[in-house]
Amino acid sequence: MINLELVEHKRFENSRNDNWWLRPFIQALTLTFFALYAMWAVVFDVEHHKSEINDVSFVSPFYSPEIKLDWWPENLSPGLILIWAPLGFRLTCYYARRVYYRAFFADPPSCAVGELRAVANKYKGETKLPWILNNLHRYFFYIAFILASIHVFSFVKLIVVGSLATMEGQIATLLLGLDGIFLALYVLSCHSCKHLVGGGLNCNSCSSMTIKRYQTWKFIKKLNTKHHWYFWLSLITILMADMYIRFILAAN
Amino acid sequence: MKDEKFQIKLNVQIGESLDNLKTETYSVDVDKKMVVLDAVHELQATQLPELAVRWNCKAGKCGSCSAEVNGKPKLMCMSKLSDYNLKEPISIRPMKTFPLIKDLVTDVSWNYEVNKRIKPYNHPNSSEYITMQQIDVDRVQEFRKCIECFLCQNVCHILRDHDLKDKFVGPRFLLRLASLNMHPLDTENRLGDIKDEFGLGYCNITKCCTEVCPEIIPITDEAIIPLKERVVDEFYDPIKWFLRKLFPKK
Ligand code: SF4
Ligand code: SF4
Ligand code: FES
Ligand code: FES
Repeated sequence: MINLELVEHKRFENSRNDNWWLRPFIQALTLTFFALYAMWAVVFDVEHHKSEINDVSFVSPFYSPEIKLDWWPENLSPGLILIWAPLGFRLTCYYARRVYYRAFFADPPSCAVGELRAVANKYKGETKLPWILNNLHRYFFYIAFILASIHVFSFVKLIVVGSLATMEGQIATLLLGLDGIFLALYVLSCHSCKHLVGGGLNCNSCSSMTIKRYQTWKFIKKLNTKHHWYFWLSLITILMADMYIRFILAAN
Repeated sequence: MKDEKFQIKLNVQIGESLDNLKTETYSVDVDKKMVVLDAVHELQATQLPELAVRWNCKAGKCGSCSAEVNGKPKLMCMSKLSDYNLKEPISIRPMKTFPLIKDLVTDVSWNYEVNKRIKPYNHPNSSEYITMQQIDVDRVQEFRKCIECFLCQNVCHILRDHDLKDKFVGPRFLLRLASLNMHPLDTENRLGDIKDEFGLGYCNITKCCTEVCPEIIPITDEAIIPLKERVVDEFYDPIKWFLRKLFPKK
């Protein structure tokens, strides 16, 4: 075995001449904004999450599906009943992990750029708590799959019950539709989904079942290459739908 | 028709040990069709005959000419000058993660030592003639494009910044382990070693290895994350664990 020399590191040491800090900086800002907005929408501004136009009620995607629990304390927002599920799904998402390890923990801030603490830091990666819990991502995927199906289903239901009768209704339906579509794409393109449908197979040609699973895997793999886009687009569309529903309430 | 020559500046790190390193600026004659390695060769031929630089194929296939060009891990022979702002000097340094031998050349032998620790492919004990179909090898075939340039090893922060070479084998070897683990015929059980000895859990999927790979192998998406999912199947998924207890494999 050869001896390896320990190189002294300076903070953020690099010889890159581009703006390597720009992307993590923008991502950190965007995620912080989103987290603050979501907290405000789910915890503090509870009354304005639902608006009615011509007897059709539009529910903010943060509160969808609406669940009523008798024992739920009145002073606690009903949005909190389910919010842990999408939150956990996003926090353990492989793409989101890449983003927050880079943007919030500078681990690393960007490629070939030194870290804050580097060698002195006892780096454990995802081998110890809390990050080892990210290995449970698939369980959040199962729940997210059900939630995304409900979002798509409630979008279809909205159209059936006549949400398109007014201009405001059309816009709200469109935004909720986009939310449903991008959420579904985000969930379907998940790495755990890809693994579940066929990623665990080694012999794809072994039976007609494995061939089908291989074909589905190939399809999900195609979606998966755009997973980062669906992550951001589904965030943005949730935000827009929620804002618009609050806007209708404020305008009327 | 001959291409017109013009001058560019190169900032080259020279020296043999960490305490006598210096970065010097040189002007070299180039033309616009050249790659960074050509410019380094021009420098070596005209001004700095003792400059150490490793190269072989000049076609992006041998993986010898890895270095850091303007701070980014690159094959010098595949980095076109026309992709750079030539009004500014181009900085050229050796790979940071491996011990320096001289100037642009580093000692990458640690990688070969790691490779020896991986159990080789184990063929099934059967006299039957086995045919494999293309759809069975599609996945692992992509991994075989690796030219062992070790740029991914160089950029990986676990080796580069945290210096955990004793705990983590690096993306190149996770790629090799994935190609063995996903092989339709290999009979070796590797997941335990992948998790513990080879340190898969240290990777925080920040994807720099994929960003620098000159063979454009989706190392993280197709090798590391699928391996993580397989390790979860085996070691972290409580339902799978329960099912295994309930229906043990014969
Ligand atoms: S994705 Fe993992 S292996 Fe690749 S560079 Fe990042 S930490 Fe290293
Ligand atoms: S995986 Fe890519 S970057 Fe890593 S050694 Fe192989 S070719 Fe080089
Ligand atoms: S949701 Fe991003 S990987 Fe599963
Ligand atoms: S000289 Fe062979 S890869 Fe550059």
